[in-house]
Amino acid sequence: MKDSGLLPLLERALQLSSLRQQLLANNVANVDTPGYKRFDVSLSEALRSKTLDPRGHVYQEQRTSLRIDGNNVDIDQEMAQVAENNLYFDSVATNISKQLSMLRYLINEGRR
Amino acid sequence: MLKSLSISASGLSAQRLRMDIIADNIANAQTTRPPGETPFYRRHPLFAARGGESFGSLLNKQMSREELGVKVVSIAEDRVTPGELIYDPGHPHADANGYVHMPNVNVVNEMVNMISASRAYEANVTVINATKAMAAKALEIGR
Repeated sequence: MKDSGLLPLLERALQLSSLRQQLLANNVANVDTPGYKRFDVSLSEALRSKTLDPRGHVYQEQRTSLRIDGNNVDIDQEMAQVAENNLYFDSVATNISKQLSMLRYLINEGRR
Repeated sequence: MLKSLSISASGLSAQRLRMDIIADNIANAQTTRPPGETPFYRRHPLFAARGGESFGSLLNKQMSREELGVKVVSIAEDRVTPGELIYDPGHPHADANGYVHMPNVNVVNEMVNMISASRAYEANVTVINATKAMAAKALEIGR
């Protein structure tokens, strides 16, 4: 199981997606907070890196500003990201299920 | 995952409080006081991000439940915008010149704020539903 390396990777992807959901929820909650700058995490970079702690890949968009109060949360974009993250989480979770069912198939020597 | 839910819940309660304040402003749009007493001033909430004001503080703190989301720091009174003066000498609250001091509540302004609060509330509900769907999907793993 350890040799395949796929399950640990998928597990990390699931954790990352969960972290991203927190950051996006925080952005949406702060849509009316003056001076708030949005947080996000780069999934592809975090998956490629060797370090297991994904929090090193959290970044804040400091430079942009959407309104005069300095807030840069674009609610439409945030909702699209939430939907995208939702689909990503679903696909990874489905993939883990498939991996596990393949494993079960092997354990049962192909007899289901 | 459960943290996402409490973050969105903080957004919900902040927007609900904002809605309460707007309702209070609109309800008191015609409230007059006798001359000499302080008139009714419109109020508005001040929001602030919990925890992660800076990138460093988000990373250093263990992201616990209380440290993310939004909070209402204070409810400020708008004492700058002038209220309307209506000439009505017969009114019991009229001043010596016959003018009644109306509160500085602009109903149109409040209605726009109300729609904004309602939309922001809906956005937080949508995120809660998305998080719920994700958690349900994670529970299906291994079935």
